[in-house]
Amino acid sequence: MKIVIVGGGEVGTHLGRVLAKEKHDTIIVDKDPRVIARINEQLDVLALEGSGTSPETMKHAGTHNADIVLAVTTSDEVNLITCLLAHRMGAHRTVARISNAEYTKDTGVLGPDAFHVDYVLNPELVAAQEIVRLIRRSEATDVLEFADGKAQLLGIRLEADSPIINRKLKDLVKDYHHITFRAVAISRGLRTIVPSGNDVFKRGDQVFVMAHSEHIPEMLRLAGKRDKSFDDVMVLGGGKIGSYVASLLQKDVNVKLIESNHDKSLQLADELSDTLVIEGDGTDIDLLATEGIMDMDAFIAVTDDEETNIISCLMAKHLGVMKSIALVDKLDYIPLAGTIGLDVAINKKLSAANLILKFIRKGIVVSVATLHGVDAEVIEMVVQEKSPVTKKKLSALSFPDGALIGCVKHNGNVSIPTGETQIFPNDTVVVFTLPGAIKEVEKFFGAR
Amino acid sequence: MHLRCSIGVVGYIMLFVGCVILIPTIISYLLGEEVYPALLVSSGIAILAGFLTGKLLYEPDIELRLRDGFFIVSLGWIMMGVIGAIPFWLSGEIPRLVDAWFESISGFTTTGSTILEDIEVMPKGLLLWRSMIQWIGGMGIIVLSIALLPLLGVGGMQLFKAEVPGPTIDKVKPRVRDTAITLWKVYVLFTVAVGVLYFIGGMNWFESVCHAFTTMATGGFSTRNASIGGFNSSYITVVTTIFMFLAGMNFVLHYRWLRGDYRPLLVSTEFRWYIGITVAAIIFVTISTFNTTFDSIWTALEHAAFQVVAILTTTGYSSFDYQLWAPAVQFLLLVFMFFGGMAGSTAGGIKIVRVLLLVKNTYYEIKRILHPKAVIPLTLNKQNVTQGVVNEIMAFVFIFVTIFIGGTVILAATGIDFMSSLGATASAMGNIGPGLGSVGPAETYAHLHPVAKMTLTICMIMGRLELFTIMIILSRGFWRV
Repeated sequence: MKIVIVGGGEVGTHLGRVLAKEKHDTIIVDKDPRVIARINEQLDVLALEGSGTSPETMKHAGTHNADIVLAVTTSDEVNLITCLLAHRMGAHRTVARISNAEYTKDTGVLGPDAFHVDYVLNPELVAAQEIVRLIRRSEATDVLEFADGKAQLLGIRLEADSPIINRKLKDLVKDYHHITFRAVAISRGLRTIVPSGNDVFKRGDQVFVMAHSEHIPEMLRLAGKRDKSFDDVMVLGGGKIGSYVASLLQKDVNVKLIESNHDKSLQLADELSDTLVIEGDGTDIDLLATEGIMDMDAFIAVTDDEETNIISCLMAKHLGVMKSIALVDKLDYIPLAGTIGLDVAINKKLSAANLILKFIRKGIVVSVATLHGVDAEVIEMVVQEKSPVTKKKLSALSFPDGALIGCVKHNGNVSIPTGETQIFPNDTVVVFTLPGAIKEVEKFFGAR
Repeated sequence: MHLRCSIGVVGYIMLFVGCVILIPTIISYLLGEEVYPALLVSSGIAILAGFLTGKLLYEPDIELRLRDGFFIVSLGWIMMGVIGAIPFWLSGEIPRLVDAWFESISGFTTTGSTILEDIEVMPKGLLLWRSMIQWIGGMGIIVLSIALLPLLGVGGMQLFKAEVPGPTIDKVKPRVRDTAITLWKVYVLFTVAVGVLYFIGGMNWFESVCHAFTTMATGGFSTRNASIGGFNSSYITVVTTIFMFLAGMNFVLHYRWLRGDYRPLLVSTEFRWYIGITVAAIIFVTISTFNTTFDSIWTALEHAAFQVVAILTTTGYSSFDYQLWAPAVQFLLLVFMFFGGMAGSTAGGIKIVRVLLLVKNTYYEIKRILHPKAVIPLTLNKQNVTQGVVNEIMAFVFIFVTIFIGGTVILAATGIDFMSSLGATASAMGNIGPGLGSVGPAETYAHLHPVAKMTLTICMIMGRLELFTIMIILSRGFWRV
């Protein structure tokens, strides 16, 4: 595929790196010659100096026969005009990164449609949604949604009092036949195991389970967790992400939002009726104590300053908050999160880029996700006509080792497949696979 | 730096070169020559050594960086020189190792200087190999490896930059691999074209192939002692002139106009300078040789055009011994040895674009002194050229001149006369071939002292890889963490 990326910032660079690795013809356009020089050094893409709103530059970039144009500069307006230009020049699909909600509102006079934007990406909203998902599933280490939210993949660490410890997987399936679930992977120490019926669960295992969304609480109970939902959450930073998080959570969770700017806190207090907005400095420990940080279930630091976010999260952990989530802008810091004691580091650029990748792969592969600490991928894809997997029942196929079908969506119904399951073209499947088996898996479903 | 992995990559390049030796081996066998076992053994050595090195040291997961690129290209070229020398030496046709090495490096760097006194008695297998190494070296073995070997996909850009001549690179395709493939395709196309034209012009198939290889590579190895002049055919002289000129052009421009896009050709300032310099020089040489050396203006034009283009594009074929011409003409040709062709061509030398930018910059500098507050940006093809590029070019020219002087001094110290030292070094630096004096077009390099030969091979590699790659490897900073 030919993909033109406008904007060589962190989102653009990350996308460029991933797309070039997947052997797409990638062209990155940026105004800054220094950015161009850096990209030329780091990535196997064509880097062009110029503006995405310049017809000359875009023509040079080959927009007229581009499959996708991704406008991901930090300026909404530039992104919108780039998309309009790209559409006029003949680009197949366009994606715009837009942060200002006024442009994306349904009631907007000048919406994305007016600019022929096929897909709108709001990095702040994406990050906020990810935070909210993590808050709702307090006990999970990973939460991923598939098949339009009907199935979820949970990462759970098994506690000592879990009833399934030391039991074989096939016995469990018999005992708990009323729950549709499939354990797709066990992470034990440094190993990743794709389990078969004879595998036994051990204490401390991180288990990845694919289950029907309705059965998630039951699943958590089996793992020895009480699906304790968080009642009290403190959000630090009233920027876009902070206010999105608060507005998404405030209905059922008690949210306290700390913002240092006076005018902004007033405005936030107006907009967020069910949130308690506090004006003050988030690193002021007295203020935090007064507002009862010790009794909080979760602490979310989403100010513009990542150092403040990390430090205040560590402070919250120190004071006994169960879960801390920090917004970290620098990609290089992410791997440090675990070692310094942060529960979750959210990076809006990374989440945004992953979402765009999902959009690009649309058609065959619906989405791809990687899990923390596990060397494996979860691929959601549409089964192609005449692909090998549709020929026989699953038990009659020699499905590759190191891969498992997590769930199948057939005519809108999500089920966990067994050996008797027959897969049809146009079904959506979620496959969990170790890196070595990816190629074979793709062949099975006829992708590419 | 990933030293192990880099050496592994070089191993695979050696393996690849080893496979290429199989082609002259087969031809030699089919022609019933006695040298084919020597070629076969050389191929075996290269394949085995390359395979083992690659297998043991290469790790596919490592992402190669800029430093690795410089190292791979430098070591790769040295190892290629070694492998290229083995067939000459093993066959006994070139009994001295230093001579075999000289011939091999002179081939890969597309210089075309030879130590062979009598080329015509050489076995055909070796002559073919001699032409093939020029052809491979012309567009670049690394570029070819990027195109053909998937293992160089990651970090390929670094290698590409280190091998492709010119101050800036122009990617025709978003991915390095596709760019490399495209450039090679254009290269092959032109080679086939010129080969066919040679064949039509009366060369036999073997000579057509060999000359096609060395023409497009701007190499200059011939199968005749008298080079192109040995064919005594105006047709062949003209065809060679045209294709040497084309080989001295940027292959990206070729790709564009072949695709019907003539704009880049028309707006390229470098191309205009290239034509301008060539035409002006041809007129000058024609006038000065007419009535003195040649009786007919057409013969004068033919040889003037041929010789100017042969030197300017650093091919180094000869149709006539230019040492018989007026000193002014000889001096002009010496100056041209420094110029070279366009960036992104197979030619050596400083490259027209660098000369052009230096001239422009100097002119602007005078303007800037006159108007201290004036904003006068340096542009090329209507695009801004950063000060960084200008600095790089100045450093390039400085290193070029320094090595040129150093090389001349060393050569003179081995007992060669001044004119010959000057000509041989300039010729080696610019990857041209014939020099002046005792290494002129009618002579060979056989009589030089081994130290002089080694010095010249170093100059050739430096010139082919455009100085910086080797200078970086030699710098202390490179080996520090």
